[in-house]
Amino acid sequence: MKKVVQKYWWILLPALLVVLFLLNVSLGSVKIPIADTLRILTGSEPSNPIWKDIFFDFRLTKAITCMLAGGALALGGLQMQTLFRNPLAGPDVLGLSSGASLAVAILLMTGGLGSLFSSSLSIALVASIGSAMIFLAVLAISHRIRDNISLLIIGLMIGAVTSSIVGVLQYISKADDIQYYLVWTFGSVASLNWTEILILGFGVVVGLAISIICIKPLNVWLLGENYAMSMGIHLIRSRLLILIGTSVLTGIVTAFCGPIAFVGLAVPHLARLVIDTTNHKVLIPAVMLTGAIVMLFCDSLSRLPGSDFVLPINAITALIGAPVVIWVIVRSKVIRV
Amino acid sequence: MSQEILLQSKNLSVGYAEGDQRNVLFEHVDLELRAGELVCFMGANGIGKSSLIRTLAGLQKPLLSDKQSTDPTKVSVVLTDRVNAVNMTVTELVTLGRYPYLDWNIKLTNEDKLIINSAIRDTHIESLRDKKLYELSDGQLQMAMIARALAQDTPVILLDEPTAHLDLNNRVEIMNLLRRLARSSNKAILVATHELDLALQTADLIWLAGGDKKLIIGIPEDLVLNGSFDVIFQFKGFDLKTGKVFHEAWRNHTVNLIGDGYEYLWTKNALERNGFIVDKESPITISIQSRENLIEWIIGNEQYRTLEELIRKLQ
Repeated sequence: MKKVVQKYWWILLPALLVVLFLLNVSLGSVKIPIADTLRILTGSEPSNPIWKDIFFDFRLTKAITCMLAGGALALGGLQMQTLFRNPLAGPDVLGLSSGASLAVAILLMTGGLGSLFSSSLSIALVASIGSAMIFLAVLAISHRIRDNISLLIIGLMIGAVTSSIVGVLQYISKADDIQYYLVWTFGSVASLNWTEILILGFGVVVGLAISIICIKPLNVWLLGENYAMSMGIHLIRSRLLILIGTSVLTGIVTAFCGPIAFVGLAVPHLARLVIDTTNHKVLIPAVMLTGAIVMLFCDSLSRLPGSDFVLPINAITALIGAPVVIWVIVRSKVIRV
Repeated sequence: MSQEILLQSKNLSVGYAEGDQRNVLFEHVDLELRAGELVCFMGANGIGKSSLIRTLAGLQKPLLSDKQSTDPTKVSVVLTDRVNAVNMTVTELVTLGRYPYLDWNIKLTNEDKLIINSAIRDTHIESLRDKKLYELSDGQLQMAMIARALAQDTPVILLDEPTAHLDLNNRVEIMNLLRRLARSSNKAILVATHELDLALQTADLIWLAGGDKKLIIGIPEDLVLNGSFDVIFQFKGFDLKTGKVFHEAWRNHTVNLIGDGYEYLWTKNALERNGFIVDKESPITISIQSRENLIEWIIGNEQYRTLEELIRKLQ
């Protein structure tokens, strides 16, 4: 079974993605028959014209957001795990998401700036800068310490500091701003319009492009910095590139969808369970596909029970992600990059 | 010696400078590595062998100089750094050695594949190709790391304690492999090691790190005879010139031993280890008789099948 998956993952994963995509777009408060969904997708008219609007303005945007966000977070997590050679690294664990949250909180809750800058693009930009700042700080500290556990503790501390600053901001802010911020922190993939999806898509493409030109350094990085250098990798330039790419990926998703936990941490391990390689040329597409699948699955799950009742996406990813991480650790006794 | 010099460093100083503090490990040393030669680099722990190797490889900046350059097509390394990527397969690891020659798309040519295969063959790890690094023994992992360096196909290979933590068999295998590689592919190979006996028997040249931030360089035999090793290692109870641990004849008994070959040497070893003096003038005579696979030790009219019985009797 594992051998088959290993060999044909490049067919199986996209196939699974298509299935989950179809499942995802056919779920919602308005019931659209699957036959009509397919009809809309192939360009013909559905039985009820309103369904077409619902499909294009809500269902499709949501599904695309899910795939982009899942793929981007998973890729960000993969890059961080490789860069730190630490299987427990991830955008949320090391405080990147908190950095983005802090930046967004400052933007949303300091009022005056808000009226001028609170467009989606500025939130995206600010969130990226926020996560990049934290990433820089973590990277600088990681040079001074040798062991992985300390790094994770530092990530937790950074998270604690940012959330306390956010707490202070909440204390001094207006109720409306706070509510806007709180809703944002639950995470949502459903509220993006097409312009915002374009910006998100553009960010993901930039992050992916950086990641692709970093395949070589990423592979060599696994052996440690001395070996990487001895094989002609320019350490500072590569590290900076990986840093920028990861910050863009994490920042832009966090900006539009809120801080989504566990996808960045858990998905690379899920992908590695079926695709047994350390070559990023294979890992990058595999991890992104798995991320997209997991996000579509989580989102479908968040609306499945009552159809009208939608759970925050963040709750679902944690519900699924945390057990996955525990299971991976227990199963292999030790968790590896 | 007329071999081509593959790596040369003049007036090299090695150490760390942090702010105003400077920790100098080696000062103004002149070094060269020649094609086809295996050089063993010896010295006490903490004397700076790893730093010198990193500096020669361009991974660490030399003191008193801004010149730091890595040339991945010229120098490859096997370091003591722990490899965390234990999920990697041996083939993936060896493939990394080709990276200096590949572009961002890392597509291997047929020539790359040939070089990878021959690196795997030369290190005798064909059966481990698809094994993950965490499945390997220490010796196998070291062989895989050497294979990676070989795949890098550089004229110079620097190895930092490749035989540490290995059993005798693996140590001998690795040193023999390096010696063979130096000869057959005309590479210059530098090995930092603590294995004095192996270094004496395999090295073409020894670099000996003394405590004075200098290197003593010479062929092993010269350094043994002129006492350089004794000064630096300060042997306690080990006689380097005979290659033996010094035994105290605490029993003050003498025995006369008759025999030859390995049987004689090991019997003598057993006797001396137990505090006897082997002396032709002794009234007690032990004669060793071996026929086919049977060895017997005879004192007067008593026979012993094992040395253990003999020694117990003598005591």
